[in-house]
Amino acid sequence: MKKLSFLVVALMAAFMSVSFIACDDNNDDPKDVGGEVIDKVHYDIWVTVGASGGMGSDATLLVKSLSSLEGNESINFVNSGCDVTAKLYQESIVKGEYYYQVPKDKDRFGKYQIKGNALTTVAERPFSSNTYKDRRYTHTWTSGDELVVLAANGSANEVLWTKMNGKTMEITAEGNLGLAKLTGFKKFSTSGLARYRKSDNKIIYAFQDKNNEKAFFVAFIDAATMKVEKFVKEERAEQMAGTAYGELLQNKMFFDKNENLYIACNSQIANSEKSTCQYGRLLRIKKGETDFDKTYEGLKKTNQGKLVTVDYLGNNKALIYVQDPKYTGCSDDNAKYAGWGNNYNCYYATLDLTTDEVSEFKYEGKVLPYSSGTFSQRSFVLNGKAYIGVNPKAAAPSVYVYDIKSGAVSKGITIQEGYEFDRIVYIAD
Amino acid sequence: MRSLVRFVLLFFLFPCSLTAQNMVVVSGMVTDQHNDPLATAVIAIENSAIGTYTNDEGYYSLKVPAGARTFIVSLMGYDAVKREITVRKNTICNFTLKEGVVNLEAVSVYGKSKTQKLREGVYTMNAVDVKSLANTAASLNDIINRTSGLKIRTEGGLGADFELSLNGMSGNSVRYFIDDIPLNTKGNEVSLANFPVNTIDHIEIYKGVVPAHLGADALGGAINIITKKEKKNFLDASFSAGSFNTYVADLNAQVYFPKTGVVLKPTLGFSYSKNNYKVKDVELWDEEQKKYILTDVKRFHDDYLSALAQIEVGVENKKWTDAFYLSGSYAKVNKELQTGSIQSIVYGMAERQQDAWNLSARYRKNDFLIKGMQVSAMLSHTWDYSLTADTAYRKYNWDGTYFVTSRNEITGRGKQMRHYKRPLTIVRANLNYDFNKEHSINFNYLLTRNGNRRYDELDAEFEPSNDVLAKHVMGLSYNQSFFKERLVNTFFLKDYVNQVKIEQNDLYWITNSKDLPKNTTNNNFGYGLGTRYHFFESFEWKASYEHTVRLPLARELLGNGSTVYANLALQPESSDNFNAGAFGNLTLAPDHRLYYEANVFYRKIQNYIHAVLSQEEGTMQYDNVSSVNMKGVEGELRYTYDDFLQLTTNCSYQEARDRNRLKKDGKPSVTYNNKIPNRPWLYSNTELTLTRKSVFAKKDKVRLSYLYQYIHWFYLTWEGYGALQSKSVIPTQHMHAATLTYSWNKDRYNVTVECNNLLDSKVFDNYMLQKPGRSFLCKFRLFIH
Repeated sequence: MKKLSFLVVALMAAFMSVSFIACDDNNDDPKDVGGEVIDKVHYDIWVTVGASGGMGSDATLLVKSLSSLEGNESINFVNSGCDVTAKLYQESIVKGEYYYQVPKDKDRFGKYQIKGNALTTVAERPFSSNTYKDRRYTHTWTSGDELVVLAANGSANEVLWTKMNGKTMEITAEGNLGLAKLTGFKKFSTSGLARYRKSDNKIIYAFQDKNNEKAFFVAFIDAATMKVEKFVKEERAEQMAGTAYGELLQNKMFFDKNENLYIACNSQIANSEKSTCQYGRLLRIKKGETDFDKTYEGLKKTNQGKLVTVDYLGNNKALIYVQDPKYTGCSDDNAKYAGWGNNYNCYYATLDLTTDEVSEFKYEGKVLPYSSGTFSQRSFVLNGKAYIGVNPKAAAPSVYVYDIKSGAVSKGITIQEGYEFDRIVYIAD
Repeated sequence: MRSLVRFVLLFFLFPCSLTAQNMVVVSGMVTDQHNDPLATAVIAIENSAIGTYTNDEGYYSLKVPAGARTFIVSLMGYDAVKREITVRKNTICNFTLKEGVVNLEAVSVYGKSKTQKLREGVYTMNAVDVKSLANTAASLNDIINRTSGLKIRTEGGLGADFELSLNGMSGNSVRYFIDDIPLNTKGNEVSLANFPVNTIDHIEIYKGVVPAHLGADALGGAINIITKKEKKNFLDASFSAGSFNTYVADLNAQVYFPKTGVVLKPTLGFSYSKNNYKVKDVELWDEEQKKYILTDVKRFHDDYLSALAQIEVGVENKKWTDAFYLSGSYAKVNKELQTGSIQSIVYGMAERQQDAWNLSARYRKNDFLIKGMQVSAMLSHTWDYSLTADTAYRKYNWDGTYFVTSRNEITGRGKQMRHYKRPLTIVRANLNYDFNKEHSINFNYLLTRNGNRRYDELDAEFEPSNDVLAKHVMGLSYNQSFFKERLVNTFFLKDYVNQVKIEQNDLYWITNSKDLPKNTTNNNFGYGLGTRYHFFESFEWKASYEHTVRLPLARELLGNGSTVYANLALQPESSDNFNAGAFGNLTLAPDHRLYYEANVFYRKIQNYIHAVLSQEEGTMQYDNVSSVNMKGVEGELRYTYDDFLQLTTNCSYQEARDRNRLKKDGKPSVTYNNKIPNRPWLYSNTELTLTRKSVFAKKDKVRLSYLYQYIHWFYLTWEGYGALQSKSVIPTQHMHAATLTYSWNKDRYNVTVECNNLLDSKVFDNYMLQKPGRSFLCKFRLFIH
């Protein structure tokens, strides 16, 4: 009897133990982890000196490479870091070991590498017949190592595209989308947003009719022929989050594990003082679909705050960076212009794509400090961790590391005060 | 301590006591053959540094050592008189000059030209005798670029945009005048680069502290071009031809009718250059090698044409006026644009055109209403029109090839034909009252009203606007002198009023136009003083201070439509400017003279307006960098041996530091107290001039000069941040130039051959904007008097 009792207790204990673990893991799929997995990697911290590093800045632009963002090191740029001011913009496509962009020469595409304190030009190609304004284009990588760049032309009455070989930067094809004829629009958004959907070999391109900014559109393009197969209108938001600069600096879209595409969008608050007073939505295009999923409207529950950047954390959760003057205590009403702009009015949080719950990241029981800077990308997801750079009012900028699996947040490196900390990227070694 | 005081007293007083021994005063009148008094005639003692000028009544007074002295009296347009006089006591000595040829050498006999006299005034300034350089092929920019404390950064060849910095202050902190009137009355494109040199007598360059009579809201100083003021008939014509298809022609004449007092002054200036100089090591794509290769190419779209025509008609010496002139002028500038803000941005079709008409009237009267009161007044209106045409959908390469694209060249947008109409009205009134010879008071009022009407005939989305910028600057100054002008002081007050009416709303995120009221008025005050003490000829001392305000220029506030964007949130900048300096003339031995000058300056600038690259459109925009401190030291040495040799060298060191403790977000700024980047901080000029007379014929003259300019390298970005090996620099410049001039028939005919950038160096004033290589220019000048 004792033995039976012991077995029952043991079985119950084992059962409870299993259920407890399952409960702890919240049914997470260990394979559903956002971001890339790269063995050897280093991190580039981009700062500007002397002025704001936002769009249009002419400040000194420095890049410092670090082997780790964890630990309590405090870094500065006194006679250290690579000065890339004369050649590069902060707005850059980053993939693998390289940076890709239209550099300050303005007449070419280039592939660059920053190693130590040296900037190396790996490959450059002059524009062919399609030309692009520096910092005003969007991009996506298609199958293989093909880079596709898209942007409106000079008078913005058509959208151009160029395909390049990512290794050599050789232009392999170019043309225009023929959107003017298809849509009848006279003026398109400068860059728009583009993502390649591998399963059906389509580029999903979001754009706006600048003569009617109460809605935006998404075109479904055959990536092989660059033919627009269909375009749809989305009226639940006025614009996708990036209309002018694409994703050269900020992440505005992501695929989840199932290849559902999520697009950050924003709209002007009704009766607000200025067009910059906005609220955000995360909208979805399901895998294989050629229209928005009308059943999904992320960030609706919160119903305030402008989406600045979005990244996929895994397991149906997104890392969002939100500008919200009211929530962060900078204003009593987001419809008022005061409180927007360069205040410490942004916060990082997770957005549950299923429940629409927003949860701020916490470190030692307190939410991460609110940040300033809406022309910045200080977060990314890599190797099962989210790296979150904050630029708080009362302390030096620093990086927090969020372990996606455990949910633990630790504090990483600190960047000495006085620099504009706008970008942090990982680079494969 | 006492011994130190004794030493200092002894040091200063001992030479005084020496020079005070056996000094006598020689005074008198200088008149012409009609017994009319001659003002500004030079009375000099040969082989000494002693000399003076006659005042408006033709009177002079000169303290000289007793003994036999050779007096030389000269004046432009008259034959110089040389007379030996033995003076043992105070003596009255009158001179009569006869009309004759120009005699420049006489002016330098005692080493104190008119410009030298100006330099020795209360203000810290350079005075450049342009008249004596009229034979050279140099532009005004070239001439003043050789003076201490001043640096001009050009973006290319003839007619290229340039920025002038004076004691470290950027170009637009410096105001330009012609005969006390703002230079832009001739049109915004008329500048030091294209103003006809032949018309100029001298240039006054005021550093930091600017006389109230100029009515300038200048932060860094002012440049006042003084044109020739002669009563005699003359014709001065010149023609130059040189490398890069450069042609320059000037004509300046005066017809004076003594019976009626009517004066007619026509002026013509023309300059043209293809500016097709070779630029070295530019990148050109090589399709075979699949990479950019460095190559040398010629610029192919940089034509510059400038024309200025002016006629002045007036009367002089009437009961109701001493001078009354009506003038009309027309200026035209056509300029092709070759590059953007760096050399790799190549344009092949974009261009800028400007036309400006001006009508003006000026009046001057001494003893106006009451004795001792002088009045001068001026009314001017300029119709200034400019067009920036950027209509080519082309992308050019450095070899001149292009492909058709879908963007314009400058902004990368649609086709643009942007028109600007900037009418400019200027009203100036100046009242001066002399209480006596020692005390005078001056009041100056200057109104400048700039319109800025803009429209685009191709860009349908461009919203036309009509902005207005009106500035009123009032200045009141009091001048005093003591101890027979040994001590001279000036005190002044200025009031600056700025009125802005804004309509433009386009690009509001760049121009801040949405955040500002449409009509604003600002009132700011300035004040200052200057003092000079003449210890003795070999040592004089002066100091000056001004709290000055500079109201933004229309161009800074409203942009230029192509390369400069408006910033309507721009605040007036203010500065506290301090200058102190010492100078003196030394006679080392008979015929060997040395002039020295050393100045220190300090500027504390608030809301400093600084041109910044606006990457928003790859163009420029002006912004308030809220606090900058600038300090520096500069010096000049000039050694003269008789009329044969002159060696001048000057050196300037300046340091501008960011004094913003906090960034705009309220956090500490790491650049606090760091050197402001991208500006020259150490530079020097050395010029050797040799003159030989009667070489091939009687009274002919050969003049050879050699100029070396040095500019130390500097960083493009903040030097304390980023690994030094990764930082971009603007490299050191070594510029050599040589000029050979032959004049004959009493300076009637003059031929000059000039070579610039003798060593064909690759030189930059701005990052990646190459200046011309070696060039030659030949100039012929005819001067009939």
